[in-house]
Amino acid sequence: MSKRKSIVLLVITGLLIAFFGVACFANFAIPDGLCKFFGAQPKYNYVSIFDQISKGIDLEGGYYAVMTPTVEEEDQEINLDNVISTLRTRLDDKGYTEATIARQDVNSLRVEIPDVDDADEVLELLSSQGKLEFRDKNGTVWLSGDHVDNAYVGRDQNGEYAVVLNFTAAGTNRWATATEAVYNGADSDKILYIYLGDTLVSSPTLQGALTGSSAQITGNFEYEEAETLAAVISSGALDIEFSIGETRQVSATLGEGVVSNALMAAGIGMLVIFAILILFYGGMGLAASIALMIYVILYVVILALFPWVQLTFPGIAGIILSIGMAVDANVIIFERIKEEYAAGKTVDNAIKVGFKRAFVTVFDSNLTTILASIVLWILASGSIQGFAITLFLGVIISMFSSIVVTRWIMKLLKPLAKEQDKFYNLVRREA
Amino acid sequence: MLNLSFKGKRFKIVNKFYIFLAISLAIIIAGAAVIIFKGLNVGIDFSAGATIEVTVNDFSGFNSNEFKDRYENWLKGDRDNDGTTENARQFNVSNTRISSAAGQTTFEFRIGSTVTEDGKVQDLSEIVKDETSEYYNKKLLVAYVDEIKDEIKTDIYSYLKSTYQSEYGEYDDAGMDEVIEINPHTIDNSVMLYTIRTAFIAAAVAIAVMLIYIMFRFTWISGIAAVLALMHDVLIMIACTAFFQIPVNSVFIAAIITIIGYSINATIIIFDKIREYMNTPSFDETSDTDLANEAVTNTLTRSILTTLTTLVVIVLLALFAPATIREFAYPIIFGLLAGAYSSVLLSASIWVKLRKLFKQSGKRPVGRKTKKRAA
Repeated sequence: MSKRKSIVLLVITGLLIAFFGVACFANFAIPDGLCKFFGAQPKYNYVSIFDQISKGIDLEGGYYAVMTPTVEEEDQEINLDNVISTLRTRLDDKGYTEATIARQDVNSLRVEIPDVDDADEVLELLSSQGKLEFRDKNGTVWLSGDHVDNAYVGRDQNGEYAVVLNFTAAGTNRWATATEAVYNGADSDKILYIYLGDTLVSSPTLQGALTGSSAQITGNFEYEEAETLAAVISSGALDIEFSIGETRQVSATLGEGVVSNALMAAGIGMLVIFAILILFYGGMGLAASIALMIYVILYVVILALFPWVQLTFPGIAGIILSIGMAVDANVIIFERIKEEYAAGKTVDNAIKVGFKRAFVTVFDSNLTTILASIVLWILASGSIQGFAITLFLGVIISMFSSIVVTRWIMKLLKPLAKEQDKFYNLVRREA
Repeated sequence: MLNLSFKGKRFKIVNKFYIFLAISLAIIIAGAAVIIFKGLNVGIDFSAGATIEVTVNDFSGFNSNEFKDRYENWLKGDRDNDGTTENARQFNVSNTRISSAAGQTTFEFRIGSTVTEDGKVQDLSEIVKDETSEYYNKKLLVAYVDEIKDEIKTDIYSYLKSTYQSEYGEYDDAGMDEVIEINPHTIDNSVMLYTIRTAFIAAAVAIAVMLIYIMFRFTWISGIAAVLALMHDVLIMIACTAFFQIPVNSVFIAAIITIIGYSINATIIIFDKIREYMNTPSFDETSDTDLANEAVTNTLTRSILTTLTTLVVIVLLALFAPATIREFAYPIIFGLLAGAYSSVLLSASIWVKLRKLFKQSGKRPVGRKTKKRAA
């Protein structure tokens, strides 16, 4: 490779690292002019790729609850998949799309919702079995949640928030029969009692028998209340009743501190690692440092792309560990190259043989870690699983970085050094 | 530029095996003694109960100890701070934790799952079956803690406003909401025990898989030696955690798993060197002890540099991070040091001793020489 070509390639690599480095870690407002140029809305804020990685409630703050079926129903065969999809619908309707629902135990669920302000609201949303019933004064059930197709928040004639129900075809028929019966019933009080579970939500007095495919539930609701009610009714009832075993609201302020502090520590740590590598291995250390930057960028992008990655505390440990292993692989390779050179090989040969021989070592040590992380991924639960995923991805990318990328950068650096042995800090063994 | 090389030296590490082993055993035994006589600092996640987390912005003159004592007593039933537990409901409060980070002080008041109500002790972790109770189907503790949240909030606001007038005198309740955060949560230890159980099973299977892999790629003696070194590291971690009374919680379990994943590497690097020497004809006449010493010496630079670089990141994390992460970082630091110690000073020696025990000393891989000659 000519000197000019190597300089050009190095500059391009540097620019790409700078570009993606900014894309990964910087948040900034995009100037209005640029927004217009790309046809985007003005005042568009760029959110870094790192910030787009979904983060667990231990980092971002939020709320979690563990739900267990009530004692009476513990013996029943429970279809948790149905429950999970029902809860999922409720959470999505309320806008908690980042929430996770996981099986905690044979028959309990753990729901984690990042970024929650109102814990009571969430508790209501999750714990309500959602059995909607229209009863008359004697308690006869005329209509149930099964007859409701969907529900949303609307306003009543006074402009108050109300929940609008759209009935299914069967529900529309039932509705006519029900209102007819309640309005014209022999000893009826003309009141329709609307229950959600054991709670009376609303008790409107009928002005006549009603037809039509929709109805309103009014009750001087706050918007939030109406929204929760609509979400619960829309999703349908849960097969069984749950009790909330454990709850926790984690403050978001502490979470933010954790992530930015960890990032700062990792950043300074990387600089120290670069210094150590360059101090001991000269040009090889420089190549490894550049490769490590590429590694970090690749890692962040892949964490953001993989949908089942949710960054947690132990996940950060997994990241640190894989940085350690990326450095380790480089050190193993460089030690091998030094050894080969000391034994009398030429610089080029020492590098070639060093990479080849060290590969076996790096492979064996990394593969044990990969195997362990796969086992943890499959068998462990909760945050340990998060750790396993970050470690697994990290180790694979680190192997690629130390074996392929470092070597490529070393090839680029080669034409720039006059005295190869000094540049790479290689010494011959004294005879 | 620096050169850290131990070429030409040969540290007699295997010959001093019993000294190194004695140091490790001393630490482990001392740790066991601490656990027996003082116990581990078991985190709240392990026992059922609840915590009420109160976060107050730091300001000069704030007496955090007075605050802690006042609200411990408040929860115990002394609502008017006069030394008598007059409230009908008395919680069981212990081990309040105070931590500061980012200009805020956080108090974690821990409540056990039993409460004395009108002189009667009740277990709040039981689910109420009485349908007339308003707590029906909701765990009692959750309901109690929900209730207490509003009461304690009112009291904390009026206490802070009257005691620290210069700081909070002007605030109304909405203003206080901005600066004081009160987060109650309940803990059901069955969840924790489940997490631990799965973590243990997963860790055991992971170790078994690593053992099989090492047996397959190296020898079965190497596999056993590596796993023994791994167990050493975990034991040292637990011992150090007992010495420094670092809370044992779900985060600690994650730290142990982290070290299991990491520490095996250092040992493998050394066994890789041993494997290489075993296949080198010039080492044919070398005794196991000398071969192991040579392997450890020639991987020492790597052992030191790798431990150093990983330590740098984790120590920085401990320095910058709030208490929760620090609790996580300390056990990892202990584990990293233990791992470096065991891989350099113990693992190769264990290999030598096991070879002796199973009468394999000096044995070389079968069929290796002929292969080399053919090549």
